[in-house]
Amino acid sequence: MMQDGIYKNAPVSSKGRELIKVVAGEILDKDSARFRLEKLLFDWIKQLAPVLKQLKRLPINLSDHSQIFGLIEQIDQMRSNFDINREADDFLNSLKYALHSNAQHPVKTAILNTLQGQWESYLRNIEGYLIGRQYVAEHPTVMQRLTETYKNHQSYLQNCAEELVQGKSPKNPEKLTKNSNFLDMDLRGQ
Amino acid sequence: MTKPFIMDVNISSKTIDKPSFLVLDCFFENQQNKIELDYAHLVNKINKPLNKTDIDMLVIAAVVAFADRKKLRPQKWARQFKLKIPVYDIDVWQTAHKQLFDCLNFLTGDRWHFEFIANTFHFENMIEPELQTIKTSEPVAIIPFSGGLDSLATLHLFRIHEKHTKPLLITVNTNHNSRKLSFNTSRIIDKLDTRVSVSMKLSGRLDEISYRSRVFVFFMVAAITARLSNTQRIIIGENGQGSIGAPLVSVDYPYHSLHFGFTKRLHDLLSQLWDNAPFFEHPYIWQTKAEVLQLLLSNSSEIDWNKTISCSRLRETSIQCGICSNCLLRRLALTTVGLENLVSENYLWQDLNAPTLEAALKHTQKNLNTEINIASRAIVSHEQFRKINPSIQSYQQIVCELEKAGQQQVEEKINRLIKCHTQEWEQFLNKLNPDSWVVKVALGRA
Repeated sequence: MMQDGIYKNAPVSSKGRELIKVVAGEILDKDSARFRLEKLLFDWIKQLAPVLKQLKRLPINLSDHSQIFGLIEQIDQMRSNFDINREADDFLNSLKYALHSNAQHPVKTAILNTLQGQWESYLRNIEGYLIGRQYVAEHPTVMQRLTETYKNHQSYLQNCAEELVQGKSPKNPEKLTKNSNFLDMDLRGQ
Repeated sequence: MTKPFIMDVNISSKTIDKPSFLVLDCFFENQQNKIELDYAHLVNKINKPLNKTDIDMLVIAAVVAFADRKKLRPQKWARQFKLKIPVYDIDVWQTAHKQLFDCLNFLTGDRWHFEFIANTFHFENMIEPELQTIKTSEPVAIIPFSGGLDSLATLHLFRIHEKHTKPLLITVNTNHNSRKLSFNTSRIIDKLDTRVSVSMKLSGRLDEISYRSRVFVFFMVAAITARLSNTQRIIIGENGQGSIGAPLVSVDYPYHSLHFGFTKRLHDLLSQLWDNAPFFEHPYIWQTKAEVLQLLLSNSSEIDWNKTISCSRLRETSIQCGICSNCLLRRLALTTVGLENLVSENYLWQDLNAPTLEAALKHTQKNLNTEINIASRAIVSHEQFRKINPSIQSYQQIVCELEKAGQQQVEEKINRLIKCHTQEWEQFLNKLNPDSWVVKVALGRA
């Protein structure tokens, strides 16, 4: 069995703590856990919507590859047109790297890479916390579940990225992942 | 929208009795604090007056450092600064604004906006050429010198390999300990006294500890010294684990301070300020700290490694903590090359073989939880670096940055670095007791 309250002192945002709470199986009602997980993922992705809106306000045609690739030298100057937050900076950095590596769909690639990079950084942080606080028994399970959470929702993230590129609002994952069995496992069982 | 940190700066100075001393009055959020900039040592050592651009660079660097330390970071990391700074050459700085913004944004993850206004302070009052103590007619290279192991190794190896070039050691003193540390270390190992120092005293409470702009200040002073010494060479003595490993495993905004991504941007900024701007060399960026030390040992038998200080938290404890990421890397390197038997140096967390974190603590510590978090983070970082997967974003991004800065075969070099680090780290863990708290944390069985 896992200890209770693992999430309490985690050095992450309140939403990050809630995610740990879900994957540590501290929300016993599965429907409630699923609902919270979906909302957390949805809120996380939604944070990029304003960034994409700001990108679309720029005088460039995002479906014109030559115009997008022309941005590579201007991205750092473009920052002043964006909100001051980590999402915007991460996205612009990812866009720069996507352009540098000649990604076929640089904006979509940048969205997905931003999300992946944030998730990886989050996992590193949580790993340090779990070990430091001596949640050693819980560490492998929590990390595995967090990794699975990301993997299980990759197609959802892909769809969201596509929608964001098209200027649409991403859909709640419930509509896309209701058949997912991620939360059907016995989360308290290990 | 994040509220910007707005600050206006005025310059005053004790013009008659201390010409190479500037006082910057900083006005922000209904408060006023001072920055005291003392560059007399630099001027006297080089025996050349600073020009107007040099003064502007020092002022900008000091104001950036002050703002960076003053404004606490929000949860989402990035802050916005709007700084009104007096400079002598407004046109030059407006031309260089893009490069300055790019450089600082990349380094700190913040948005820096500058409004440059005319510095009406009488320039002639700011120069003070005195006795010549360093001959600048011979070839010179600049080494930013922190007083740590890497600084020492870089200086020794430079002396061995470049006998006809004089190294000039640069320090920037922001507190008493940093001055004492870097000066003492450099004096011990450098009998010729080719140290150059600028003192920067920031007043008031400085709550923000991330202080990512630290190297901007350090390297700007190095660049001024390079220009005054007619050299284009600045040697950065950081090893690969610090330069490449740290941004790969960072949990906050990536630590970009010590690799080509940042120094290329800084070079681009300096190129806007004068012709033949200096280049930053990173001779040990693809080697582990232990490899650099080994290289030093194979070239020199007398090494004052125990006079150096690696701990970044020294001002809090007066002795090296022994468990922060800098200290742990130091102990890993010393152990790898056979210089430390794990108990020979005095650390706050002395005993790496103790069965628990608490038992490893040599002195009473007020905030044990914080110490445990720092120790765990350091150990986990070594493990995470060992296990880095090239598909992760931080890996992809650093490859991109280094390739853009002109580096070749970046992935191969990073992979070799990780392999070496892995070997050293595993050997280090094997040398510890199986019941050691370090081993337990590293292997996840505390």
